[in-house]
Amino acid sequence: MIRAFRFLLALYPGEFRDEYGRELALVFADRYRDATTAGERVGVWMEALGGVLEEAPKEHARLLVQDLRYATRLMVRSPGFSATAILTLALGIGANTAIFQLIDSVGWRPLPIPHPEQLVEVQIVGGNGGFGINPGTYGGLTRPTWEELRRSQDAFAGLFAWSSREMRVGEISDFHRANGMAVSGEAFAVLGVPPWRGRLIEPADEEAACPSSRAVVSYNYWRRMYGDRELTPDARLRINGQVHEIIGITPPSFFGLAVGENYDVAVPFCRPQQLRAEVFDTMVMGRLRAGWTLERASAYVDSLSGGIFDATAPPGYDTSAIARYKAFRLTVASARSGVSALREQYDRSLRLLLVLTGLVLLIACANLANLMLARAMAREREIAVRLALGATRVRLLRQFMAETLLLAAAGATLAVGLAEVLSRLLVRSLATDQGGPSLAIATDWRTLLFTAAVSIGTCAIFGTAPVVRALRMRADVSAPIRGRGLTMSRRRFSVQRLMVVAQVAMSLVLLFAAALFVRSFRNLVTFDPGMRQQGITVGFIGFDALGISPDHFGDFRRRLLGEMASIPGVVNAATTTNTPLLGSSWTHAVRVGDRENSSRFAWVSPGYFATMNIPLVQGRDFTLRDTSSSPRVAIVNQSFVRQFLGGANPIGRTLRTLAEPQYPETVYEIVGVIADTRYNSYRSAMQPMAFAPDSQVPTQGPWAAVMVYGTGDAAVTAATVRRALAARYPQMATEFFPFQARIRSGLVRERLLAMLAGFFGVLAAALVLIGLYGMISFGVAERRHEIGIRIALGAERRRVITLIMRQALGVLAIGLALGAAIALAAAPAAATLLFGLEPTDPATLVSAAVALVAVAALATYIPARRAARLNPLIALRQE
Amino acid sequence: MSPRAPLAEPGPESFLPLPRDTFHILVSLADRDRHGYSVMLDVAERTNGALRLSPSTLYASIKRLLSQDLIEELAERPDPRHDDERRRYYRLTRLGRRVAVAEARRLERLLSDARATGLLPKAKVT
Repeated sequence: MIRAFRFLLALYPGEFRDEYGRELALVFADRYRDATTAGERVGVWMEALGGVLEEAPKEHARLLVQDLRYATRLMVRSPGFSATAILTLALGIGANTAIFQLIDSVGWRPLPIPHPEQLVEVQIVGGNGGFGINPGTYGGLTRPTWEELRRSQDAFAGLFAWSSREMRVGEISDFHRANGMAVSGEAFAVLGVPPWRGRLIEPADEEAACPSSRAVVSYNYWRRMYGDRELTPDARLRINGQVHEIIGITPPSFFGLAVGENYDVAVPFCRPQQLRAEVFDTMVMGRLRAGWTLERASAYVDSLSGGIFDATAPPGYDTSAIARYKAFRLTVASARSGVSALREQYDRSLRLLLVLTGLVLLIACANLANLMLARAMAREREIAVRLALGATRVRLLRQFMAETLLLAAAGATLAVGLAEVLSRLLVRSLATDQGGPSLAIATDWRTLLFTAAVSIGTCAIFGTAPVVRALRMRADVSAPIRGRGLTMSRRRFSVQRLMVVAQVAMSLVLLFAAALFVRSFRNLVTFDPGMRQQGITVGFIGFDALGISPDHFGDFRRRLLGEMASIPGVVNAATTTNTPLLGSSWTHAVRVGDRENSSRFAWVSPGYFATMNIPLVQGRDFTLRDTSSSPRVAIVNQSFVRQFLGGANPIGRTLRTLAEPQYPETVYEIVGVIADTRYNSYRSAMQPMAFAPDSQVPTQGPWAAVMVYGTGDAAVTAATVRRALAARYPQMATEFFPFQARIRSGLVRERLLAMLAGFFGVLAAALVLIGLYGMISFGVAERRHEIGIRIALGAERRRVITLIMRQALGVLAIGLALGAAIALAAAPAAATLLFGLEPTDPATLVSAAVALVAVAALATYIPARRAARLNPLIALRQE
Repeated sequence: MSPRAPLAEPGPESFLPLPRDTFHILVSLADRDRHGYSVMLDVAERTNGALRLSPSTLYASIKRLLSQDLIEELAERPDPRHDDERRRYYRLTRLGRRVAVAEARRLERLLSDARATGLLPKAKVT
């Protein structure tokens, strides 16, 4: 019984147990002995148990308060050290928290709807492989597929469809672009989003004819447009030229389903005369029926696939394409966090940045650990005295931990505030001339939990070194005095050396990453895609409001080009059905002889290649004599010749495009060859391309995409052209922007990576400088006596410097080797983020190492020179 | 103004009011020095079993009283013949006694106030 009670006493802190444990056990034994009945004995037990459970935590708390009070006193006594430590921690933890917040808001946070975990998306397994037309960022299924799915909802408590599309809001001559959504009637009900004002889109709204006439707007959009105004029945909005009645406003928390792209306007799906079966612009989402798992629902939709794709096969394709279509299978995936192009674009880079900031924090930790260690050594005497007076090592350990805890807590508190600012700056740096992502960055429990975890980890790392040191100390008051011997003991600062090795290794990794991303970004900025970028202005023109008959679209486009070319400063202008390097693509299946494959395709006006400065290497350019009634002709690039003709002379050969809806099978005669260029981005590989005259495009619409080359600044040209066209055609919708600037704004991710990685690399180098400097200075201070004797005995100063610097050499060599190994092992993870260089590029690694060696040399030389200038008399007298 | 004593003993009033357990422990040490179990038994007896200290609460109080200098631990055992020599004995310090008296006076005043207002019947004079 007494043994059991003794066991219970383990709950007390060691000190209390040592002091009173025996007494407590004795008293308990007396009580137990005096208890006569079994009931009384149980009572004694209960009483003892209750007492221990009540008092033991109080004792612990009392000690903790005592330790913290002591730690606070120490902190206040050395404000310089405390401020450095807290600030370092705040920066390190703050940077990590900021990146975490961004990752969290982009990728992990569930949608702000009731039970987001029930939300799922119906997808084609592996995507549609580029089949048909894929107009937007979000798509996946076609409208006819949705109509089929809608009829078989066994697996779902509710199913809805939506598509994202840009909308022009306002008058034709003065419109702005808004993030639009078209939704099926069930959408808001299934999502569980209630109206904030008015009512939201209901199934009845979908019955109305196309174009739709009712719209719902987001809270933010309403505030932006109308401020505090209340929603009234006469609220109207002109969307894509059509007047819409605003029937309701969604609540402030609902931003749509695409994270980072807050929706502005939602209209109901409308039913055009014919649903296009080849346009994949629809997302189908729903809530699983109770008791259904993702696997079961996937199996269910998979079983529907055959029937659905048979019934919805788009007409006008050749048989092999249709076979591919009919082989699609459906599956169900979680849509708990909505969809996000931002997530796909940034997920990898943000994770990488989190690793980089983690490394910076580790390096900072190593510096702090060394600082703490130096302090612990300075307090060696105090500790030795306390050990001699009977303080237990556990007690000392607790005290050291209290100190680190206090520092970490102060740093973490500051970090949370700092992270708030940093993450906002980060979001802002993602913005381009087309606006930035709209992300809700919030300091919530997830952030705080992350910060707490990071802080505890940090604390464990930088707090351990001094503790290890303290545990090794002897209860010998004279030890620190005797320790000042002629030579330093190696063991003495082996922990410190270890820290510096780790620092060097981690900074090499960081510097390497920085060099990779900076070089990669420079490669992008100076990249030659094979066509002119500077001076080019891109324009999108819509002339549907001008009342031109479809027969004259071509003529009108030609007239526009002539008018633009006559504007002062404009050298050349041409139209194209697909603008290069800006992300869009247009592909046709092509047959040349017996070879069949896909080729990029565009219809361009004569002069397009001259405008874009793409050299014609063989044959002729298009001319005005290539008309809709003349024989079909094409110009192909060198990759095309290689792939389809095996390099044979292509002039006079024919290429045949395979049938697609609105694009019947056509035979073109190849009349020219151009040099290879990049296609829709710098990163796209050289690929077969074919061009045909714009006069021969099968479908003519009241729109044009133009490339204008001017001698002046492209931004100025853009404004000039836009003004000139607006003056002549007030009813025409136009949008002009500089080509190169838009391409560069597509490099925002690369710019961000280069900027942040560069910053972290420099920071890491600075931390290593401080760490190494600290280690060498400490070593020099320890060896003052020895150095003094050496100098007194006639050692040359140069040799003293070498002696000290050799000390750093070992640490540096091991650190560099370790760092290089880690860097090379980890680099392939960054491969997809790099441009124009290999992730294991040896030159980059060497340059990072050289930079680090230079930093190390500087950090070592300063204390070494100080040592060499030591006055031996003063150094020896100090003993 | 008189100069302050460098290490002035805190006034007994600064400890008041005393926690219930503390007062009972001080009272039980008032007539003689005791070891822990003896204090427990004494308190239980005087309160007719209404207040039963557990070993844990007893030693938590003892630790605090020691640190406040209200009690002290005896170097020698008062009655080595009867007692287990391993036990620790405690005694009231001068300060402890003054604090206990001050607390008793405070309670006395409270009691007389209650009587003066008729809340309690007047005490019988014996």
